Amino acid sequence: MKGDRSSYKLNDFIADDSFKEWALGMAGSDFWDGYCKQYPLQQQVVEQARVLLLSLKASQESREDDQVVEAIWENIKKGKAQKSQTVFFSPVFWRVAAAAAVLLICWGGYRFSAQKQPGFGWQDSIAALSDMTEESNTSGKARDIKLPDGSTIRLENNTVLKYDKDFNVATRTVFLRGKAFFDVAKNAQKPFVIHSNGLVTKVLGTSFTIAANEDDQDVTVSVVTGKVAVVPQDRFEALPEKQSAQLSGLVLTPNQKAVYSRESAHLAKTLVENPVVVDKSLVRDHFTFENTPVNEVFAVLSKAYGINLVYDSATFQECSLIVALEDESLYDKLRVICKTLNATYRVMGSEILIEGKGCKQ
Amino acid sequence: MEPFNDQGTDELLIWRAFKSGDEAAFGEMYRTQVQALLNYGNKINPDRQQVQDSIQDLFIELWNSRERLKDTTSIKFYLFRSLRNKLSKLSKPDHSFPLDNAYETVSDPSVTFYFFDHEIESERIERLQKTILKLSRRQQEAINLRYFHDFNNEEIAEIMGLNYQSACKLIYSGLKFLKENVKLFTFIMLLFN
Repeated sequence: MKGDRSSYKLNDFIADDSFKEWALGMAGSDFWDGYCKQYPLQQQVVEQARVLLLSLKASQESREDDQVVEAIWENIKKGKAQKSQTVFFSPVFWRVAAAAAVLLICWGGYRFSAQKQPGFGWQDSIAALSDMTEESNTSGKARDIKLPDGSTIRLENNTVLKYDKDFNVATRTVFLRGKAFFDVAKNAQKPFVIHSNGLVTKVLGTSFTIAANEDDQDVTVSVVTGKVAVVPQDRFEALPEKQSAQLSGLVLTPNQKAVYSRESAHLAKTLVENPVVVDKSLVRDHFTFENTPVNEVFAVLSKAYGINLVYDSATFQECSLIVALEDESLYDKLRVICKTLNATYRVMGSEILIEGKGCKQ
Repeated sequence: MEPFNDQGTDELLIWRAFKSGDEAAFGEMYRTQVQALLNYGNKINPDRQQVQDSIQDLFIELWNSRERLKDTTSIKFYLFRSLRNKLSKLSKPDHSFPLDNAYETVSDPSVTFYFFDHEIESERIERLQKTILKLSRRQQEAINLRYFHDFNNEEIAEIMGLNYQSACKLIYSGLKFLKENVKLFTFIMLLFN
């Protein structure tokens, strides 16, 4: 028998089999029936545990149809009656086979292009790594490639991407020169690390664009979804947890852009040119404002775009707006609002500052 | 949930009978486990046909290779782990089985969870269910394995192909999120009462 149950916490209750059976009505229990009377202070937590278990149970799917269960069993009986090669002709096997073939072709493609392109080293340490796979695009238009981990990368013209044969073994490290949009497959165990002209970008699964052309002074990283961390190459080398899942450095969220100046080694955070709505749930109902206090309008915009709007709420307290905003860009929206309020806005770093005189009569 | 009688010795007897070619024992194994396997499979893979096919193949392979199998005292653990392996091989890498990082797993707990006086218990449960769906898929999977299929943390780690600590972290963070929500709404219930 378990020890003292009088000081049970929520965790203890839901891990206790006899409590679980009682709470779910699978078995009666005099002990649990009397428990709350015996320990009245526990009543609340018992109720919490009970509702939590019931909800967890309800979130499970209902039983599968008996017909389905029988159909599977019939197939199993048929399958095992024949010899083991039956297994290989099952539909599942063909799906696996098809996947393997696609993978093989991809690898063939990678190998082939790796041989066609002579190696190039923008950094001695990278050139020293043997057997790198290289993807380049000089076709004049964007080209999508897929990496072995499932990530998709759109290479713009005049862009080269390299990765080691160990890619996706312990880490996912690539080297980029040029401009590319990354849609990184999620894998928190293996951070995706991009080296580009002195700037290192680390992500766990997200989408963003990196522009690192050799001729450009600046390297930029613009985030579409998720979170990425950027850090200059020399600082990256000094990081103790280079390949860990931890994100350290300048952390960017959607609509933010990092600009790294190769010359001054200065790294700054700003906003992308055309921010997009991040929280789509806010769009439909909330962009139509009828006599809405302007502070509220700012709060909605700030949340929708994930961008901090800085303004003095006391100044704008008396202001309200009647406006329907639709597909125009964030900056156009702000222009409309500011015009109405006789206010101005400007981008400061990764925030937007709004200034005005307010609406006192 | 499928309450499963996991008396180790009974299971071992059934397992041995099955290994020696006893079809009745094989049928018994199938019938005791199939609902739980379907339930689990459907949770981690949206393609129901694929789940059914995989379970079918799993049992056929099990039968065909029965003589080579080790004595194992938990048939259920063995079947769950094999099913998950099968399903993860079928799905595209890292898409159907996203590995969430801790910082993005727990959704915003500040989403207010009000329960109102007029609501009956079933409505409350329904709303808490929606909260469960806010957990990451892997948190849901781990919690599901822990509290509905009664696996311990070590087994969960092995089934999901994680190390022990990551499995504990998934369960802990998922539970913490649910606890915060359940506390909030019982608190509000008390205010109304």
